[in-house]
Amino acid sequence: MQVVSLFNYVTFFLLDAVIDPVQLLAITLVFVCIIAGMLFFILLYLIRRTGRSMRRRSLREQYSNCISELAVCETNDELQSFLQQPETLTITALLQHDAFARRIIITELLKTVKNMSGNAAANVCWFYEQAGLQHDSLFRLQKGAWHVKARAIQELSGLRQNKYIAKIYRHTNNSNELVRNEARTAVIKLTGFEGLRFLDVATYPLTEWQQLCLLHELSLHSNRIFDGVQRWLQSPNSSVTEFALRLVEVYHLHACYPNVIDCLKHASKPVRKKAIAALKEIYTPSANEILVERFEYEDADVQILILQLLQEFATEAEQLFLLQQLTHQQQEVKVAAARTVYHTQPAAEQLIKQRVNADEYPWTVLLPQLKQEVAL
Amino acid sequence: MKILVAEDEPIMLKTIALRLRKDGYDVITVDNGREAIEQIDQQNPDLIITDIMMPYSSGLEIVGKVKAPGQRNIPVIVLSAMGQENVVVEAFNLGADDYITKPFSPNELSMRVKRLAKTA
Repeated sequence: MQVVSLFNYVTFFLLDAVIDPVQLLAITLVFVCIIAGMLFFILLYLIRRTGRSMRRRSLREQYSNCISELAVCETNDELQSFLQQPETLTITALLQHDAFARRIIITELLKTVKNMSGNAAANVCWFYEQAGLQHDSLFRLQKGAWHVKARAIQELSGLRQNKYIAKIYRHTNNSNELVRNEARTAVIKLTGFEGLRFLDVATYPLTEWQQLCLLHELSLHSNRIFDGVQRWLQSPNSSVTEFALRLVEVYHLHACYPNVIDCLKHASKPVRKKAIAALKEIYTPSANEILVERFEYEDADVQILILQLLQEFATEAEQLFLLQQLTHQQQEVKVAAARTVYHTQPAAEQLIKQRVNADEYPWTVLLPQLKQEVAL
Repeated sequence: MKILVAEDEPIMLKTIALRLRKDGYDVITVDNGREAIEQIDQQNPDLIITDIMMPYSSGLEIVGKVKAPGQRNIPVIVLSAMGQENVVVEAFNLGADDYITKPFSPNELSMRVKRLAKTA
């Protein structure tokens, strides 16, 4: 109670002493005006936003009818008569001067091409060109911010504008990660394996995700050209080398074997790991000796990969090396070595028992487990 | 012959419907799974084309309902952007008669409908 009365006393004292009641009224009025102004702008903004979203909805509805008719046209005559329809003429006339309408229809066309193939997709791409919408995308590719550029690249590649490949290609080494990723994916989408030539000049790294996206795009093309792979395996950009190793692995490029062997000595650990993975797919017996030689220079995780590879390919010549690894300092390496011995030696159990104390942990647990694993 | 098309993407829905009407079929269109189930009960279609990813009920739920024991065995074509083996296998396990992965050609769909229409 005392605290409240003290607060009131201080407040009234300050009002009397510091602020004149007329001033207080003026300040109140200023704040009321600011709040009213803000509310007015919020209202204007909401009205504009609602208007735009209603217009977007109505344009989408109008375009969906038009695009579905376009998609089912089967002959040139049908396409020409589609262009002459009053509804199509109204749409194309609107597109000439309305940038918002152009953006909406491009989005709808792109969505359609993603869902349809064959004649339907070809018709949609044809209309994109007929309506001159590619100029809109090109303008945004040249002048836009990074996200506008990335979107424009998606549009041009999605709607199969092969003739603008050079303009897209320029962005494959763009300083912005998203723009260059889109451009790299786009050149593969448009030209298949030929598009990989951007790897010759790529100075920025290819992320793991980008590499997977490129491999996916490549899988949709059948004209397989691998002219540059040996060059990319020696690229100063280690992510390019990694990607080239992925190509060797996926497409079993045996001709690249010497370059893959060189990659086992690469300064970058991810490259060395990828080289081991690639080697599995293009294996030749001479690789064993090289892998055994490299083993002592590697970290435990790479050593485990080498042992896993030898699990499939080790011969009698590598058995001594494998048995020596049973006394490795790192537990994981020890286990990987034992697993490899089990997979490559019929008398593995006896050989391991000669080297280690089978009554001691972890062998007491590990040996029955490995035995069971091999039996499966 | 009456065909029910369930697809939530308006352009796809209209394109499929237009293509099938051109082929002379009577087409009913719905844009969500719940409405699809209602229309199956009310309209009793001879063939169903359904997308998998739809609001309220998925295409797989529709297949499961149509192919449940005791139901009239209406042929179902499943459309999907999901080409993963497990989804395709699940659709066929539920009793789907055909599976088309997007992107697809409306002409190809038309041919598959004709083939199934013969057996319906």
